[in-house]
Amino acid sequence: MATATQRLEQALNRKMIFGPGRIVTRVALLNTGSFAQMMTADLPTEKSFFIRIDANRKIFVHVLLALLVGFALPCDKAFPQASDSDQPWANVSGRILLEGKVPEIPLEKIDGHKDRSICLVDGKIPTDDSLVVDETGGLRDVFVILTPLDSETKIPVHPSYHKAANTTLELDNRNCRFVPHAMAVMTGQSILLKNSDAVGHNCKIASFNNEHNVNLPAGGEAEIKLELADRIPANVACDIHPWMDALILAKDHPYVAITSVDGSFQLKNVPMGKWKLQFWHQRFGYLRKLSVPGVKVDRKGRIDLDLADAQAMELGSMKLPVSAIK
Amino acid sequence: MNQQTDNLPSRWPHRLACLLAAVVFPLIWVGGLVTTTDAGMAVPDWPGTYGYNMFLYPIETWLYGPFDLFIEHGHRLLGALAGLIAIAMVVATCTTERRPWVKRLAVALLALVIFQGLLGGLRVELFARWIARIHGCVGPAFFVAVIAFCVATSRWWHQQNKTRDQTRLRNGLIWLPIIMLGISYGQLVIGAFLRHMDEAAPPATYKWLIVAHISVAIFIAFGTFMQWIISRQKMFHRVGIRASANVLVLLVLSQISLGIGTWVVKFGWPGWFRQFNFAAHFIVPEKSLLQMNLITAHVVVGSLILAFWTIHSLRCNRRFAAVRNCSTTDSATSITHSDIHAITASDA
Amino acid sequence: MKRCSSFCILAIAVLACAACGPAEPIEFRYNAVEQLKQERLFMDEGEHFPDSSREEVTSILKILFGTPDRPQRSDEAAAILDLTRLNMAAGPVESEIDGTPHGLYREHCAHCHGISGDGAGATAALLNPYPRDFRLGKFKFKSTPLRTPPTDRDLTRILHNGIPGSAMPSFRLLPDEEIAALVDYVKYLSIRGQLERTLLAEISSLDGESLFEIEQSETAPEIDSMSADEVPDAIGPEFLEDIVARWQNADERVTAVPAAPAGFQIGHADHGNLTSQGRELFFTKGNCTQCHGETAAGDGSTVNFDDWTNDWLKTPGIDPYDRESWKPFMALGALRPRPVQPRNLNLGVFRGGDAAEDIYRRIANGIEGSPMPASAALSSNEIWALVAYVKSLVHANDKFSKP
Repeated sequence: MATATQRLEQALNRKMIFGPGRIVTRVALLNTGSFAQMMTADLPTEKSFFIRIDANRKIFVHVLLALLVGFALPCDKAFPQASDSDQPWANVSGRILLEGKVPEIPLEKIDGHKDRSICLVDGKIPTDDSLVVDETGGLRDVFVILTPLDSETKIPVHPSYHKAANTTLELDNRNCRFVPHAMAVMTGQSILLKNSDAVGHNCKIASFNNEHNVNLPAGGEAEIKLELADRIPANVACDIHPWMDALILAKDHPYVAITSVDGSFQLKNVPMGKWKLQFWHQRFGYLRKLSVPGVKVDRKGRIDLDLADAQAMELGSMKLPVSAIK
Repeated sequence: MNQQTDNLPSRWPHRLACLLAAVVFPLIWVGGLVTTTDAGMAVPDWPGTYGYNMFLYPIETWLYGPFDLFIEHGHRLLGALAGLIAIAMVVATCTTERRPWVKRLAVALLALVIFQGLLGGLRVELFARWIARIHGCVGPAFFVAVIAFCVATSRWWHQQNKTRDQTRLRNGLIWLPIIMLGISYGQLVIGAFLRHMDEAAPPATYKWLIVAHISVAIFIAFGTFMQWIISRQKMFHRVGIRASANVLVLLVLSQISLGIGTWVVKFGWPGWFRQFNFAAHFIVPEKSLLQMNLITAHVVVGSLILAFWTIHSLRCNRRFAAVRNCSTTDSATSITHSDIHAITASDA
Repeated sequence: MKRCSSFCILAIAVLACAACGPAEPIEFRYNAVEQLKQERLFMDEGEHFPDSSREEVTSILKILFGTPDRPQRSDEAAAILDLTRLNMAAGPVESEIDGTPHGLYREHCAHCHGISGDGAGATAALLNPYPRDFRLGKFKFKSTPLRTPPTDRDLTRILHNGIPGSAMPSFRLLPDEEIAALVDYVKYLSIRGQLERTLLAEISSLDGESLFEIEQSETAPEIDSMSADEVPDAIGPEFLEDIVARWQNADERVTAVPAAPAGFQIGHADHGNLTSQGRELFFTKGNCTQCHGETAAGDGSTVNFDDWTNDWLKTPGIDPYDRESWKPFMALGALRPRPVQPRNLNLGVFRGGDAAEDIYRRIANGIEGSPMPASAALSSNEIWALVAYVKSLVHANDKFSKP
């Protein structure tokens, strides 16, 4: 008989994940096997299936359900699995540029705080980092998220990420700023919270599905995990220094990119098939006003991504009007 | 003097009215307890008590049963007693009283007490909080009317026929007491709303009612103090208004203290006291004797203030108001300033 | 004149009658604040959920949880909610001939915590701190860590002891079974509120589509004709199961308090070396002075908001100091944002209980919903030392000097 703790774990494993569509549930990722098992298993019908079915979502769902019932369940493999040999992978890249006059970035509200001297960066009050734009208009810290067409689908994961999932990511507190400002993690991946400052912080991470509030004394560190996937990034805050903020997005797959300082991003080894690519930024929300050449962006900031044969897909420069700031 | 006394009506209406007031006052007290202890729905039927005739309900079950039943059934019995006394009072008044308006007032009192009893019954039968609110407002109104009746049938009232005094006519003694009576009643109505707050009411409603309650309390305190100052003037020595003004000041001061106390025993000390040790340690003692008695005392003193404003304003008006030609031309005699000293001295 | 005044009084009474009027039947209040937050987060300006979403959520909750007068308990929640107790706590205030009470929640709780447990009862705006909103499933004073609900024992304790310095009374004069009934009802409201929030989040992720899985052939199902057993399956049973599972397992997630080190004397202010070690930690590794201040008077850091406010304030990025921006939320029932203050430890008042192990758990787990963080880097002995120091503060004379 299962103990109550086991029941809880099961419940947590089945915990809803807010995807773009219906809740992804009961997919026994953590229940039935490890990543390795998932990676090496073979389901050759997947590729042709994804390529052939056109955009009719209803038929897609029905066929997919039939597939799941017909193939997956009897083999005790509840979701599409990927194999290195059969499944070609593609890199998706692009660049997001802000169009229009960038508003003046305010300074962080440090003045008057007792830790002011420690919170200065190079002796100066740093600017707010919720909107960082370089001189060419490149927009930093846009989350580029690969999402399945419907929530029943799991994204196959390239073996190269297997190792990455076990590495520990670092979130530093330096000069009363979170470094980095935006990060993506996989569910269950370790995050090391560090405090390089000479003053104490706390690190409060809050999203719909995850919550932590960790005490970080000067020089202290602590390790945490986000166990459940979120729809949009969690807010990271320090109650002691209210201007401090960062974003962490937890997903149950590694295909989340964050634009670098020139606005460019790259998603590596994305599985073939039809997906959606979603764009989200702290100040814009979903980038529904993004213009991508030749592609329609829906109101949830998503574009269709059809990866057929190409090894690389370059989305090019995508323009975002400044006026879309919320 | 004796000749005058012979002309006066029987004292029975006054005695019965005083008895009625003496019953209604504890009735309000018990009624307050019914709400404070949420005993209102302890007996689900009406006019019977659990199928018994109200008066035949076994006395042991009543006295030794649950506390809320004790209170609620006691409230009903006391209410019934008040009704019986009111009937006796009406009979006595109609047979002995000559003034038609006093007779009408007596009948109105009986009607009001019946109405109040029906309201109480309806509150139980219909299970309605809004009726409880009206029931809570009519109670003190009835009390005020009974007190007014007591004053109107008293010896003092009749004596004023000889000594009405318009030389010192001033609005501070004519209109202020009446205004204060009205405002005090309004304050009581706000209080009834606060006590019988709808559970689903939005926070803003309650907030504004509290703001209103406090503002009116400040206004009443100010008005009472003004009245007291006026009554302290030398010329009002021994004319029968100082005592009621003194009592009113005492009552209003204690009522404000009780109001603050009610808040504290119900919701703790307000935020700005939090850094004080006594406030930080204070735990609201729900349903404790302290809490229940303090809150009920606040309700009861409210009615008492109303009663004294009634006495005070009736006396002031009787004594100092301009004589209306319709009713009192036959008896009222204006007297001069010097006369009054002679009369009051002889009273003493 | 006299007639006049008695008529006046009657007129006032009649006016009062007219003003009160019969109230509408009591219903649970829809979490409109959460809906607006979801709309702000995920929709364009001026876009709203369709009206059908609200009806759908209301219907689902009604089937699964009943009404304030007639609570329901679905099978999923059978293990943690006792229907007899719920019935004792629900409904209007009345009692049976043997004294068995009904409507305990409305008698004791609803005027502050609200009929729906939204912490916005009639008196809420005047209380500081605000009454707890149960619908987030967050509770401050409990023996379990963050994101785990409190145990029955925790809730019973708070009801029994009250919270000093707040409007939360002690119900120690109530019989045990009445307190137990209220505890179950609080859990009931909390689970209901959590499910409501989850459903609203789900609706926003579905872009306003129906929560029910509609097959191609079918039209929308008749929600109102469904039974309490059918609804969870129709919307996906995991919604409710997950919430219930957390509550069900709270007992096993209680934070163990290891034995206090030698030198710690429960009930004494003098813990010897431990106190000075704790003082050292208070200023350094404990990171306590950042908020509680060097004098421990709660004057250390800037003001902040608690999670119940931040939930609708910070999540959709509302400026807490811009009154205009949070007005729409207040119109829907949110209470005015009010900063929280770090506790003044010198008063010797500990809201979650002043026993040594209560303070130990506060330091080890943090306080859910507040800025108070969980200690990540302190050993159990170090936490005990902090407990010793904190307990000694109320007596200490030298607390104002930095070591």
